[in-house]
Amino acid sequence: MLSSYLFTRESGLTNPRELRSAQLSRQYSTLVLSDKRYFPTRHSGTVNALAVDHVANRYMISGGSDSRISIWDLNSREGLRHRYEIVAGIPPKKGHKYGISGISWWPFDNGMFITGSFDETIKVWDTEALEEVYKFEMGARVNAHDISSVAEHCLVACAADYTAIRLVDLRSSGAAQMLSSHEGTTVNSIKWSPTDPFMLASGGSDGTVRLWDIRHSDACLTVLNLENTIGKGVIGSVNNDSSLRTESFSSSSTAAFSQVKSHRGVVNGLVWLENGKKLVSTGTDEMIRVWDLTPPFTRDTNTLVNFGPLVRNRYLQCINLVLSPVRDCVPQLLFFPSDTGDILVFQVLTGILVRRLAVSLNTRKRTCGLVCRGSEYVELFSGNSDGDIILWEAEQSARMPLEKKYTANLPPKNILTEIYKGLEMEIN
Amino acid sequence: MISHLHALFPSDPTFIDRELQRVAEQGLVRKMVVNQNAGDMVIESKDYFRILRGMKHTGKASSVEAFDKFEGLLKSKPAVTRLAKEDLAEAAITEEEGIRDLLSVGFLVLSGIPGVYLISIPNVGSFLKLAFRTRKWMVNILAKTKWKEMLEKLIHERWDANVKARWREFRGVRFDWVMMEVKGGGWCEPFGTPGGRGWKLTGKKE
Repeated sequence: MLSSYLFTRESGLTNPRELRSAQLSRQYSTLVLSDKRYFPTRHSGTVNALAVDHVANRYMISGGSDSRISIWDLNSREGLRHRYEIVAGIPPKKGHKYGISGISWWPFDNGMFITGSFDETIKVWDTEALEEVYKFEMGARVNAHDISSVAEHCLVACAADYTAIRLVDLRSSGAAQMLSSHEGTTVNSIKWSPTDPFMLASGGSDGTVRLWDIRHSDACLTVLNLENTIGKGVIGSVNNDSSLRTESFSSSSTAAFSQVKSHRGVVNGLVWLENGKKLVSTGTDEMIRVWDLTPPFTRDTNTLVNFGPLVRNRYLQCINLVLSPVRDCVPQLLFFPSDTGDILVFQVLTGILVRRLAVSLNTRKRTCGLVCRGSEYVELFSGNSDGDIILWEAEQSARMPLEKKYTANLPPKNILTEIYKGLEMEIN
Repeated sequence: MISHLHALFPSDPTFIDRELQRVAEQGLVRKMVVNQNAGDMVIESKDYFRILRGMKHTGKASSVEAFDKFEGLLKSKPAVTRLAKEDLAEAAITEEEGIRDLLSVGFLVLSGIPGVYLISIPNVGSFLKLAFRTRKWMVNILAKTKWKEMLEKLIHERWDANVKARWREFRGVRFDWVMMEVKGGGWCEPFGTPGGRGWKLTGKKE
């Protein structure tokens, strides 16, 4: 199959990007535990947060429940066994007092990173000096935070054990806004839109995913309702206002509106698709839902994608949902760290389970931090509850350069030649 | 139960959800969500309305109109699983006459929210209890083993013994009904062994 791609690329019949995405998709479908490269264990608790820098995709920060922060150079290879090296680190208790719930790089360069912690603070750090530049007291345990990568405003949105979302401005180093609408006791996950600099999605313990536009005074745009669905290929009933929608609940009763739910449990994970039109959310009802967000938001938002019965999600901690880089892998994959210790790999838009990544069959180390290295690289890093960081990469056979398969007129196969060739490849 | 449908199409659960929604909107099928922990139930509309018409003539005289109005309301909202008092009032079913009759016969069920009723069917409780008990039996049997797994042949033997022992509860329940419910609901997953198919718990709680 791939040789036909090579032929069409050579003859100019197709876009060379098609070959690239076919090759990368094939590699993504063969992700396995890396046998060559590994991370020495540094964290003594769960590795909660991992983040790869956006500029060079070279540096990864890991933050754990032991409050240690380590920065790794992903291009480093130490010796024959390819051990990753630490570039810098902040020892436990020095940075934050309690565990770290989330880390994000400053989206525009490597100079800064932001950490949120269970010690109720968000700290901004300078990477060169490894010193904290700002500290924001949140007054409640920070569950998750996010900074927009498309916005000119430098607002960090913070989801804490508090009903309102606090926006903190890095330019004025003070609190900017408070978004209240969530009804539960905590907000567990929060993500800025990748295309709209003013739109935010948050999930809370009231089981709702809310969309916000921070420019409006009454900022909450809508609550995603799991009952607003449309079947594939059905027109739906036409209402009096001639809007196409199917109602499974009458919205005229106000008592019922406050019962609108996106998940029948706490919403603890969110991720936007890169085109900003779809949102994936997960909750402690062990369901993953994909929402279609083309406005108007009152109609058919729940796309009814069913991710199957293997999803395990019972803990309240924010789940890092990771998508494969959008142009690399077609169809796009969603990596979900399940409570049983597996990482489940699904096709995002269809819900089909593609792969289950497990360290070993019978150990139950939960994966908490998860990050994809970025475009160009087929590497997935996961941090688990034992303090290990694990690299998942494409299988050796999928990584082999295509040109090798192209050679014709090979000499007749010989056992000794095979062994020699195998040794040759290992040394490479 | 919807878990049986999911067991029939294990590779494509999205297909089930979307098809059910489509078919419900066309009015061929009625979805019922009486207990969120127990899962969704699905019944063919023609069977539902046959039962509704059959139960019409038990109860008070005024209730015959209430049942007709209810049937009309359901047909106008084919994909709905809950009704608020306002919706029922639109169809001229009032608290005193209609709602109370429907509740007592079993076509409406109280939900946790006052003023909101869940669409249901009479004696749904015994059906749900049966499903729950069979599932609980299955999960307990597997939980007692060291690795939470067992060969299907062995489970089948244990099930037959269980049906004989607790025949008042389980008589007539087929083994494949139990297995489909447990597979489709995500409580167990199958795997292959040289000695036949085996089943393993997935860790789903409750």
